[in-house]
Amino acid sequence: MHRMLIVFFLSLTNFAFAGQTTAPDFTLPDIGGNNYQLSKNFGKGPILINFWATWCLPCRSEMKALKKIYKKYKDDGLQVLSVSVDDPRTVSKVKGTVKTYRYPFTILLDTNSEVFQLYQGTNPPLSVLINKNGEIVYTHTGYRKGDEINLQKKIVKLLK
Amino acid sequence: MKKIFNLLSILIFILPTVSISQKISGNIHTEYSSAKKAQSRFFENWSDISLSRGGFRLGGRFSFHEPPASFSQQDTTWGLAQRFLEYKRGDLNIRVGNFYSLLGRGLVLRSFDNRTLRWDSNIDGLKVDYRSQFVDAKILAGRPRKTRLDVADLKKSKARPAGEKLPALYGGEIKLKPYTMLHLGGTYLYTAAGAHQTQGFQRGSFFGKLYFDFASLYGEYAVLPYPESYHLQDGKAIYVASNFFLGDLSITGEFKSYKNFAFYDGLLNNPPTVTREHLFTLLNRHQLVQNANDEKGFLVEMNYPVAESGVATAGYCITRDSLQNTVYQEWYGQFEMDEFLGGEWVWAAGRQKEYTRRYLNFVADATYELTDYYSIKVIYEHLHARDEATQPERMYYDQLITIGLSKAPKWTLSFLGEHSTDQTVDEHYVPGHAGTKHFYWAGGQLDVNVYKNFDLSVFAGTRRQGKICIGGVCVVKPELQGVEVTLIGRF
Repeated sequence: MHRMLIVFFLSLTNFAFAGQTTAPDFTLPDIGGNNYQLSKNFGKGPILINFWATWCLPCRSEMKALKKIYKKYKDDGLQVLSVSVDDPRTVSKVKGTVKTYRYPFTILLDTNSEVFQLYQGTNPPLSVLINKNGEIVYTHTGYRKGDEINLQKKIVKLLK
Repeated sequence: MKKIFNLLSILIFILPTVSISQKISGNIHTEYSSAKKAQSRFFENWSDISLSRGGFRLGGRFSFHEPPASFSQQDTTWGLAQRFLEYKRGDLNIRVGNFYSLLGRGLVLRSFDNRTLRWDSNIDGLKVDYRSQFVDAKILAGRPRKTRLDVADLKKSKARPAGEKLPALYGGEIKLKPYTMLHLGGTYLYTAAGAHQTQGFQRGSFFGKLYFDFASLYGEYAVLPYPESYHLQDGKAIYVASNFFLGDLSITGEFKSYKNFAFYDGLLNNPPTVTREHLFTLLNRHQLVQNANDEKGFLVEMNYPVAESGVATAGYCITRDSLQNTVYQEWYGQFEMDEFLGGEWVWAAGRQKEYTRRYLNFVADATYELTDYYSIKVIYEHLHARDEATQPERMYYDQLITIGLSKAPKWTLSFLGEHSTDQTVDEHYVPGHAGTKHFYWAGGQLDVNVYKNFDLSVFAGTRRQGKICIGGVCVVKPELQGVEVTLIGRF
């Protein structure tokens, strides 16, 4: 037991040193069946990766807020990648959800959560903001109404 | 084990200095419960860490598990649970060590990690993944981890976080994409002989996908031939999923037919359940427990946007066994309205049936913005249950209320209360007991963003025993009378 506690608290020291990290590259299929590779889109502007699922209640509210942000800044170069972590039991509902809720983003399918784990995700929603150099500048888990105000400020800063 | 501990401790000291090169990432997830009853106490930790350089990534997971008794029969374990070395270059990804994988839609293989279910079926071996414009291919070989330990394993598995391993498997998947609208592929898996089977097994599937603007279709057909000595019909599984769009109306349809198709009691595969995954607690409490050896059913769901801010959903699903018994059936309706009485509302109603039991559900969910950063959320759920097979007929109801005040992006303070006229989830029913007594559970929860990506959640009070079902896999979370703390951080 004491060994575990030591390791646990030692591991916390890492947080103090954690810095800006290069976004791990990945290739995922979109809902149209085409592959999307993240690194091929670096350099065009900030990229917001949002991990969500059809069964996730806070994700619904967050996606509504992201829709407004995307519409406002897409012409300035903002890209939004909406990565569904729906697994085989719910992935068939992604396309219907996207159509009904009129999500305008690029929708990618991470059916076994491999990319979600690559980004250290444990529960959706998870938002990861990447600058045009491919570095992670901001991440946020969960969603409370008003979170989008902070996110928007970070995006505006990157667009300047 | 001592050596591993020492090595890990050294690594943890060294890694922060390496992080200056900005190539380190990881996460930490700790759950702790201090409860009145011993069976509800637990202390678990998962710590992932990985170091990237060029196209290489080296990583591992340290874990400690002292799980609640009902989650598994696993004894206290700790140590290095996973380690891997990964290389990625362009379309190619090679990984040696522990990995998760999915072939097709999980009919043939699905190894995954779900901490809510305490489920981890990672494979220790080699995985090669190639994704390009016209071809996707995956090859894998290794030994899967046995997720659930039985009593015999307990005696020999102390202090082994990775658990016992199952016999080796070898397999892969290839997907050809000759046209954007047509994808065709196949999967194959061979599992070697071991304690659970006297000889090796082969299984495989063919699948196809069609994409149109107005529709999409996915179909997979899988087979599992059994040797004659098993006296079993060859396993067969069919899964079809489709989407149709008629103007604003979106229709999703799914069909399944599984016969003799659970491997190692479902440890290696997890075909789609063809049921609805709900947004609310009580609706998810009574779900289908998957039996891929004998299931047939379908699901239809329709979504329609109403005006600018509303969405209506209606769904139906049914699962039967080979004797035509209705194992699970559900009618469901939901209506969402973004601008109603100054708030965002969701109303839902469902009727679920499993064998002789039926459950009627009603839900109302309202969210109000108080200021730009403050909001309040109220969810009321009601479930009325009836079991026709018991004498006298068993009837009871559950009511659940959640009231949460949030300040973005820092904290949420919630009150959670439940009232029921039946204490049991569904087992240990005492005739004549239900409907006559009242049971109450109540607690407060504080969720705080402590620092950057460090989130702390503290629950204090009482919480009833709860059945949690995800994708046909169910666990019963024990009753809590005490404090539960969850800490999740990423870096």
